[in-house]
Amino acid sequence: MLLKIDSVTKKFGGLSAVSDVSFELEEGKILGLIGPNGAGKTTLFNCINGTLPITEGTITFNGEQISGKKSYQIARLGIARSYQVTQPFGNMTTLQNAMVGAFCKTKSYNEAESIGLNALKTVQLDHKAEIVAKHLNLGERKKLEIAKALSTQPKLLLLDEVMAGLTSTEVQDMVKIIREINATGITIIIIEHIMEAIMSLSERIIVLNFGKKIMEGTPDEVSNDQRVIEAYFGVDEGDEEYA
Amino acid sequence: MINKLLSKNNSVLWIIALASIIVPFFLPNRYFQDIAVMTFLWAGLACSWNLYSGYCNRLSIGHAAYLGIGAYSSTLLYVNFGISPWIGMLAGGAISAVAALIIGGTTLRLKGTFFVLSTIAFAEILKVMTITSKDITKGALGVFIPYEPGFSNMIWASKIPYAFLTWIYMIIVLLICVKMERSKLGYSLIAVGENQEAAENLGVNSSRTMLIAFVMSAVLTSFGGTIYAQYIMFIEPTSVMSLMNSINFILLAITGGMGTAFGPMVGSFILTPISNLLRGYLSSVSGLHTFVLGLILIAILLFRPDGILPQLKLFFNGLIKKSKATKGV
Repeated sequence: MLLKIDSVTKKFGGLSAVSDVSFELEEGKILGLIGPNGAGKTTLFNCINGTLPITEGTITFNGEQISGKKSYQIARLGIARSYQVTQPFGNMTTLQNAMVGAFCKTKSYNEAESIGLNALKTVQLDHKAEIVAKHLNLGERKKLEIAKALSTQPKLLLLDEVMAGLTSTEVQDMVKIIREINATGITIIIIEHIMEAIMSLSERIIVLNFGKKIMEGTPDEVSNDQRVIEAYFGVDEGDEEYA
Repeated sequence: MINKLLSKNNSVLWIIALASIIVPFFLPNRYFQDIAVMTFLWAGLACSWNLYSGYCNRLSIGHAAYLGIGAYSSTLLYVNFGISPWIGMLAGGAISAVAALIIGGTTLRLKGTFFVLSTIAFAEILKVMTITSKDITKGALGVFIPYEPGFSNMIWASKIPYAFLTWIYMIIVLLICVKMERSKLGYSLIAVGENQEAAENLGVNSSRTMLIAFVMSAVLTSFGGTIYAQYIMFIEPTSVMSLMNSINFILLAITGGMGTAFGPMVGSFILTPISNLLRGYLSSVSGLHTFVLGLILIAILLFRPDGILPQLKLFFNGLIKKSKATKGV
């Protein structure tokens, strides 16, 4: 097992944003994470990569307990993430953005440059290498998010809504890129609201609602599950009266 | 803001920096040579300040403290024990490093205004301490450095050796900055300045990165402090560690371009002569020179909020392109 989440709970005061979530992830897989807004998906990412300390439970990565470690330590161990709201270093060029992550595994400038450039090539952004990041459009920013994460040479990649706001061609593009990244042996957990994309990408999907895991299964199982439909569309109590 | 790591076309700026040492030889008298010395010195000091505050986007308005530590350490060692200021300079650097480690270790995690205020507080506390501990520092009376020219005393009769010394100081600081821009430390520091959380997620240990840069900045500033003391030959707390000095670091760096290796140098090359000449020529009405300087500053910041350096670079690049084009024809 590459990643093992064991009854993880994250409380903000009295509110449990993530409560008692457990799952395991094998190396090389793509895991989908879905759920309505506020279900705790991003919070779970924040817990895994150490941005937020967890309240209860343990997270084990590659046989090592990582809950309690700082986010830069976890990044160095091999977990990288992209942000839903893109966080480029606006005044640096695209390549320099990617190089920041590359320096986490090397001290040599030239090596960092080639790692960064490779990451940009993977997301097809190498033609914009010398552009200052704040001048990129949304699609390019989303790609840059992935490139930054890739440049740390991770084993596990956490992708937080990298397709939100993209056009359908861009989405297809992104799906291809994610497949390619996965083909190089990088395990991926992906949060996404675009169902076509996540259903076609993921081997297994976990559904969160109000911080709890309500379902885990293959894309087919998940899309036909009553609890999932209820979580997304609500329970239709008035049905019989109006029938 | 401009792209901070554009260190690729620095050749013209290097030529300006290296060639600037010629200027003092052509100046007619000691008054103008004095301006040249101060210009080099403040260029070095502002570059030192920029090494942390400029790249990391966190203003320190207390760098006069490290200027003071450098000045007082070497001066007190020299006056009391006859220890050469060259050694005193290193001692000052060591003391500054320790001070910066303690201050930085506690305040660097503060965000925004709180960090700025803490730097001012440290500088003011140090100033008051220097005034009150009369037994060691002679308090507000200040310390005179006896005039005994000689290389080992870092004292010369002519201004030219001082010009050399301050110029070398400036070049060394520039070299360190340029080297840092192309290193892990530089990339990490700028990334932290841009977005601390995102940098941490890419494996950057932000507190360590900031602390290293802060200590480097303090030590380099302190070296400048020793040179300052040996040049002026009289130091007193309220002039060395004044808030005005602290602000001068920032003015020069912002005018030239914060977060660029050569920006603070350009800032000093422009502002230090202007400010000194205004003081010299507008002395008839008291306060007039600061008024005019203020107007100039406002104009620069209004029209060039990124500093002068980016514009200068565009200008040079244009020239280079033009000359290439004409050669091609």
